[in-house]
Amino acid sequence: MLFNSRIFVVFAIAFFLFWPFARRTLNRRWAYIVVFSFFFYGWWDWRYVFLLIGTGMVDFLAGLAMERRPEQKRAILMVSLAANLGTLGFFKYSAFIASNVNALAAAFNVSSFLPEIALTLPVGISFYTFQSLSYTIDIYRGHLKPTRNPLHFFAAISMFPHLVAGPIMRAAVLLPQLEEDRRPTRGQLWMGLQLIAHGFFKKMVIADNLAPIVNEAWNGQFVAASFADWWLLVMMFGFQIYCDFSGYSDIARGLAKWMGYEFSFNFKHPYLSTSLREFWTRWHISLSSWFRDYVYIPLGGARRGELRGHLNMWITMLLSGLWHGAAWTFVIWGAIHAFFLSIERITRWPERLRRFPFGRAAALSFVMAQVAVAWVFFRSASLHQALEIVRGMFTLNAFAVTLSRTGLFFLGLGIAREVYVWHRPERPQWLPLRTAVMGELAWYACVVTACIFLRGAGSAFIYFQF
Amino acid sequence: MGFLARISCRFWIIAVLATAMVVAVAHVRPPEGQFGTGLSREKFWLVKLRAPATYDLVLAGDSRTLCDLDPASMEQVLRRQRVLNFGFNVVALTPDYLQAAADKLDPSSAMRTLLIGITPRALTPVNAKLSGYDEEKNRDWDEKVFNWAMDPVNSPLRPIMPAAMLQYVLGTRVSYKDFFPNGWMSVSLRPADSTADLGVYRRIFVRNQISPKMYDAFLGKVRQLAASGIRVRVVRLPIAPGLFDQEETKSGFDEQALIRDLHANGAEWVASPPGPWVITDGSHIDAASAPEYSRRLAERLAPARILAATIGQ
Repeated sequence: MLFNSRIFVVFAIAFFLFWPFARRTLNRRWAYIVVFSFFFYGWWDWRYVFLLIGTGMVDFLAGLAMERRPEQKRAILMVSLAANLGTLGFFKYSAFIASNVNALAAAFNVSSFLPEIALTLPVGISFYTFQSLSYTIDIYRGHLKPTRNPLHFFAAISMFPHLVAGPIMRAAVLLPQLEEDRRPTRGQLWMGLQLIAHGFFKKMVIADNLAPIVNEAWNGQFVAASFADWWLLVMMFGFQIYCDFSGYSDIARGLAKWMGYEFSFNFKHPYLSTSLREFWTRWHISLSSWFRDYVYIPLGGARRGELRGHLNMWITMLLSGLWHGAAWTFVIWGAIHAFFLSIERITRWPERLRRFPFGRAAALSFVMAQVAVAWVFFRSASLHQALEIVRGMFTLNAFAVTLSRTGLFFLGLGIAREVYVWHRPERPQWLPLRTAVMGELAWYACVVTACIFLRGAGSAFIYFQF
Repeated sequence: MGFLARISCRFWIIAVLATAMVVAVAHVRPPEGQFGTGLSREKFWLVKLRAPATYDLVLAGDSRTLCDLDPASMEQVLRRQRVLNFGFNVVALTPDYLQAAADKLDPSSAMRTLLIGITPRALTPVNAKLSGYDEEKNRDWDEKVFNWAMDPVNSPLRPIMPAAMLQYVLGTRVSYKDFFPNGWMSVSLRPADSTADLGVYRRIFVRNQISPKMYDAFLGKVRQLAASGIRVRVVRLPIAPGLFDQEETKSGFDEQALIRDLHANGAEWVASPPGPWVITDGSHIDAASAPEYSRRLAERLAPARILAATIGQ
């Protein structure tokens, strides 16, 4: 079920209508969340609900077993990792691995021997697998006590706002919240409304209007007249994916607030970063912090010397790329980020550049350019296509911009919105509070109106495919 | 702050303000159509897909068929024949689509005819990928129910670009689309601009020529339909000269070869009635001109005795 579908409106109304009654006792609250979340997930394909239950049960039982048999907790963790990563690998990477092994075999004149079965990828499998993994790893590390109630466990793992596209909520953060009867505060309700309105605006108005132009270009239907066209197109994709994904996160956080819960931040204006390192503290924060805590730091982080630090960072970024999709283009996307991060670490160019006049603006533009080049590989269907586009971006042939005005309008709107939200002016002293609040309410009415009249053709969220 | 501190009050104020804004925009925006057919775009597709198998003549093809051919005008010429326009936007002439069109023919009719409006685009992979027919057919049932139920507000709440709104308010440009129960979608661009779609046609055939596989599949389906007793007739509907040049030079379309292949597979080629016709946006005949074009085309389809009777009236 998509947040931007009509059926979700009915679903959400039904959920919040009875939520005040359902949340009062523990089991009723958890059961209510689980039933609605499974319905939400099963709307796409009910068969995969059993997969969700199956992998979840492995982790739930692993948690209990680790508490009961601490001397065997390493082996139990391995079972949990094998079950989760095995399922993820089977659905997401089996065809990719098979095709690469077969290609390698062909290079040595050995005939293909692995079947390349294209399986339907269960929606959000990468997200809920990581959410579930954090539960057993945290128990193994002694950071979390296992819950004894499967409803409690599944309410945390499968809670519908974050189930299919994050933010990746760790069990250690969500389980304690679910133990309390949290009546949403006035602030949470208001903040939730703001987040949901902004989330829908980002998705329906900006991302969905940029999508057809970007898709046309990457499908080969648009012939860019100049390098400027390509840079603008890549910027459009950058804003499309940002508004699509952060819009989803905003809606998820807003819904959680209406339930009385708090989800972690997932985006903090990443395109206003002045270094790539800063970018990764602002982009998909729940995933990057997951990789930091469960991959990068366990590998040794930067504590074991500079070279080892670079190596660990490269491993983390490559895995992050692979997490996004079973294709070399995603791995290269991770590698490009790792490469630019390594250069940044060695040269410390952002700090140096920021000392100059307009250095901050220059650093921001340079980071944006690096991210844009990496996005080309992320979006492209093949390495060949990505290289063609990168060549187009760096062939200074002409300055003519032939892109549609609609696309430029929504790119401009996306940039303007981002800058406005970041530099939102405080209420001037002379403006009465009541007037300011009314102004804000009128603003949100405009946002709702824009979502209706400026909406693009509805489409699934990009991150669903991951 | 008083009542403004209460979230429910804030919620209701936003709801009231947003409703007022929506009503205001819906009031000043250009109307979708000019004839008031009482059918919204969403319901139009549903009606078309669910049309019963009671027709003698079904018109199949992409947006040119959809917009250029008015079944009511054709019925005036083809007396006692029931005509359905089964055209869709960006459709590909796949066996699946052609079969769906043929399924609308009355099995008991003695005059079962499928008129295919052919365009080079309709035999390209991009049309197959973006097929409007597939999009409407595969729409989720909840969306179909919602579209049906929300029919009265679908049109006023349709998205509109600020530029289009401004052009309408300034009176510089406005486009209309009307949806008729017989499957015709009339279009009008005021003022007419026969180069409006030229940009699209310049791009559409880039790395997207006629697919030999689709071409063969099309002929195969034509042969099968003709063999089943359906009279299959094919026409190439008119477009503006600039767009025609793009089709001729970039799409890989060979009209003469197609005519030969159609004859070899049991179909008939129908020459399009000579113009000039008002091509409102370069690729579709204007709403005011389409009925006349449809009548002229119907005259070419009509058996001599029916035509004589019609002219004699």
